[in-house]
Amino acid sequence: MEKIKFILFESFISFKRYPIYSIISSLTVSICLLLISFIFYLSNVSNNISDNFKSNESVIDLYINNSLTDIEGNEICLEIMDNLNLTKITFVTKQNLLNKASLNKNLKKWLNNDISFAPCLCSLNIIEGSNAIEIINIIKKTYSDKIFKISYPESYILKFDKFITSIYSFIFIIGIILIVVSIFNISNIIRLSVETRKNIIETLKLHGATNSFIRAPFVIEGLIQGVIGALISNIIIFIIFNLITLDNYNHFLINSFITTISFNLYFFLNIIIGSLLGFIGSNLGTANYLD
Amino acid sequence: MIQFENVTAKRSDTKGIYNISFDIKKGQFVYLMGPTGAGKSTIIKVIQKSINIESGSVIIAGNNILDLKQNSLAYYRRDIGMIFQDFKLLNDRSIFENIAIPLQIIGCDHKTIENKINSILSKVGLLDKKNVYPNELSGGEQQKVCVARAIIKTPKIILADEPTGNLDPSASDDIINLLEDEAKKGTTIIMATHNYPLIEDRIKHFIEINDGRLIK
Repeated sequence: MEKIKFILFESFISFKRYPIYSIISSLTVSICLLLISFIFYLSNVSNNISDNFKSNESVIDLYINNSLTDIEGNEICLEIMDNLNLTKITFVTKQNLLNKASLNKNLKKWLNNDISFAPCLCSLNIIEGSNAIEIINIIKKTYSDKIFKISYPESYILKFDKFITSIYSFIFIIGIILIVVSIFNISNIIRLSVETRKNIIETLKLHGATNSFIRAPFVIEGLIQGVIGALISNIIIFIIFNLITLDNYNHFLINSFITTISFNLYFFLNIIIGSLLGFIGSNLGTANYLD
Repeated sequence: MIQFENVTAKRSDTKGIYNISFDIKKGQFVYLMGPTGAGKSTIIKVIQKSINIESGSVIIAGNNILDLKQNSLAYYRRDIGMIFQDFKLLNDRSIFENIAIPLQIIGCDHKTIENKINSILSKVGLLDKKNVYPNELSGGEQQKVCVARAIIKTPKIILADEPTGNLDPSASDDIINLLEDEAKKGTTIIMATHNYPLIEDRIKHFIEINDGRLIK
């Protein structure tokens, strides 16, 4: 019990005895955590972009034969939705489709509102994981006489998918490198702090202190510095959370930059990673003087 | 208590001790004499197991220290009190805190620590300075603190490496008196020194070495 009291006392009193080193160590931890949080945020953003892009762009456009009316086209659309168990379809009438096409004024006049030549459009939103090519084949087989053209940007989506996968891998590698660099960075800072106290280690060793007894105050100190660093980075993240708002934009790409991860998760992750960084860093920092 | 048998140990290619043998009994106060670089500190480091020997054997209190495992080394050192020429006091801690360290290592409670420190500081005449810091004390006073730190845990052996090297004759006498008192209580003491005039009136047992070899 007395030993535990001594170890705890030594861990906390070192903040008073060596304030500069404690501040530098905590700030190093907080900078590392901010970078790790940013990587975490980036991975979340790329995930959002991927999800939002797929839900907005993974659409099969079916152009219904112009011989069929809007009502018939809509019926076919609903039938396809039922048969293929799709959850979301959008039906566009001939008139709306022509309006979207933004035709030349003179051309519109010449057409004299005769829109019978135009097809109507049925857009099918594909559920993630379903096979678009298979769906297209089924539609072709069943509705070949009623469908004029099927359009699906397959290569475009595949390319985007590959691009997002590469971004993920890149972020993952950067994240790993950053964690390793952070550990070395913190262990170096703590090593510097230990260097100034190697006379204490020497004295403790000569008086019969075990390695764990000598190491414990440094490790606890490292843990505390890690937690303080995490709290500093959490305060900064909290301020960023409340300062930056992207709610006014209504585009899926912009919306993707709004993190779907809650502040609480960032908070706990920072505390856990910060403590781990402090723990590993202080262990590495003291190892040289004890072995 | 301390038995060296043909011990050879090297600190570097040029510094070391060669085929040293001696036997020190419990409660003896032995002076380790020789010029600077003779190997006195090497003998002390061998006993505290800060360096390993190349050949021979060192028996301390009946146990060969070669057999000591890494994890039992700390417990072995708890029976040894160390006094250094440069004191090795921690300047960011008060005198009380410095002397408390050996007792905190063995897990004494605060009341026991306080009682023992008050008693030992009275003995060395520094009770009124228990809350000051080492750099506020004279060299002689700092060495007294160092002695107090070494003897507070009542060790079986005290190793003093040139404890009077930085002190004036009067302060040196005080330190040796304190160590002699401990020897009378049964503590085995080895004091390394190259200052023969200081100890010639007191000397009873001595080991003389030069160039790492035993002379007497």
